[in-house]
Amino acid sequence: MGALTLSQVTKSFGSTDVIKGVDLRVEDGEFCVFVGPSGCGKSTLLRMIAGLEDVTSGDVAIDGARINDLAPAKREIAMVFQSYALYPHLTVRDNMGLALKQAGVPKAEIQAATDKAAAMLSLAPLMERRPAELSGGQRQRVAIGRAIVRRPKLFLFDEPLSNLDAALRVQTRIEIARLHRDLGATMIYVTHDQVEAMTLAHKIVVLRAGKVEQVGRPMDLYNDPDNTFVAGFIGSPQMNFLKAGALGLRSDTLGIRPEHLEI
Amino acid sequence: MSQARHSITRSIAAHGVLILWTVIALFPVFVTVVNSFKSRKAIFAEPLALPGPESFDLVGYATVLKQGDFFQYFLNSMTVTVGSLFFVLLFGAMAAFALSEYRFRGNGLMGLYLALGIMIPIRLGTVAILQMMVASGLVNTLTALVLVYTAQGLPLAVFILSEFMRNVSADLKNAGRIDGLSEYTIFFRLVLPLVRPAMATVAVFTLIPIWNDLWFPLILAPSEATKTITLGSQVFIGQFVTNWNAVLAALSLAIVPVLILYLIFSRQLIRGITAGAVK
Ligand SMILES: Nc1ncnc2c1ncn2[C@@H]1O[C@H](COP(=O)(O)OP(=O)(O)OP(=O)(O)O)[C@@H](O)[C@H]1O
Ligand SMILES: [Mg+2]
Repeated sequence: MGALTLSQVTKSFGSTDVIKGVDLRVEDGEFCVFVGPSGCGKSTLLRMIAGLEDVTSGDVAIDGARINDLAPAKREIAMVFQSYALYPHLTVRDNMGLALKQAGVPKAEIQAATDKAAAMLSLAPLMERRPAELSGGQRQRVAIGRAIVRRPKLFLFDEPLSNLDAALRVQTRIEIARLHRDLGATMIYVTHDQVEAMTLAHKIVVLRAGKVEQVGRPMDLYNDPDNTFVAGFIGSPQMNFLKAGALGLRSDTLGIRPEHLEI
Repeated sequence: MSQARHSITRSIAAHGVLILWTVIALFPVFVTVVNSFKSRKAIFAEPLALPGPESFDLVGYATVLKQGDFFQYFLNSMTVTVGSLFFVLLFGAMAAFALSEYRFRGNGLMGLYLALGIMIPIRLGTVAILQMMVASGLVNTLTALVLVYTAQGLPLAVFILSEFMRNVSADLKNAGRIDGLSEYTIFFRLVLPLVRPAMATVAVFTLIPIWNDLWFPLILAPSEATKTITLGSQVFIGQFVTNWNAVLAALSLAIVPVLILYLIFSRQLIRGITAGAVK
């Protein structure tokens, strides 16, 4: 219930190719994190999965069914945005219930679903407020609540925590991990934060300039990177690179992680 | 301490300039309204004096209300203005949304074409417009005026509103799409409320030239049944004799409806003007 497959997916804006042939499989219930330098196409790929951008070529499929031409609302996905994107004119309850209302779900059911999500995120006392009357952290929780209420097959998060302060970020990260455990849904998560990527992910996808560099479990990427780009990108502080010839070795480059050095 | 005094002198200076400007701007209105309540002799003897017990005279208003069908003229002006305003805002906002939201071939060119009307006065096309109206049998109808004014107001509306709509959060619109809102709902329920200050700005800038226009009512709809208030007031201005009492009274009356419309929009307008300043 929620396995995603991308096959040779590409995206061009006019003459610029932004995504250059991505193959990826995310298993049902998996937590998959996209990382990569700014401008490498993480958000674009996520928006293509959501149906907010057309796919130039290739196929996007959920549970084996091709969804390239399906409207975003029909894909059984939910997305949480960096800027929260709450509807300013609706209360927290109506923000969370809007998708169900649009789908024609009976009122009592919507009420039950929003109450349940509110309880999971401790939003119950805020249900009748409008977004303008909430703090940043509360808004992000409402945005997450809005995603939960729809019971999607697939959750998409685009840097959901980057507008929060450090303490709140840790707390919300734990909350997202707990939600993933409780709901068992497939989640795809874009982040710049190494700690978020390493702690949340079952599977990390490293992207560079619209191509997948490596896919794997966090520790596999850390211990066994396929190339110097992945080696340099995963891990903080960054890996040191030396000319291998300087040490009398035959290969090109030698990488040493700072945390493995002892003085 | 010195800082405080400094800012007091500065604020006095600023207010002085503003008050001076207000006085200059309001002076013609003041003279018009004051003199509309005076007898003809008093208007010419002491144009700046307030109406006193001797000079007070409602003859202007009496003439206006007797002469012609002033209530009808008012109604015509109102219909034309409100109708044109409605269409300018509706179509202007819709075009602006399309230009700012969708990527399609020729988007930039279309935007330029729609904005071009700001620089080309519509009156240059008067003869062609008149021919079209004659051909379509719309001469001496309010429809003709509404059509022309809608065309006249659209370029500025599209230009201003598309700039504002570009600034509406893309994430918000996308969230709506994922939640299953139609593009129409996204436009009417999410985007329009957020650009309300810009809508008010456009409304005021569209409204005033339409209300005051003499040109098109004179050419396209001069019949008794379709006269606007501005055109109606012209009967008192003759080649040889001008009934100043009546002219001033008619003008004073004509201010009232725009003033009301303006007050409705002004709170939004001020938010629009200061939109960048307060944040
Ligand atoms: N509408 C667009 N038209 C043209 N180019 C675009 C458009 N949207 C994105 N791009 C380009 O696509 C590339 C990928 O953008 P994207 O937003 O996916 O990057 P990102 O990996 O999410 O970066 P960040 O980490 O900074 O959010 C960028 O080079 C960007 O300039
Ligand atoms: Mg991004």
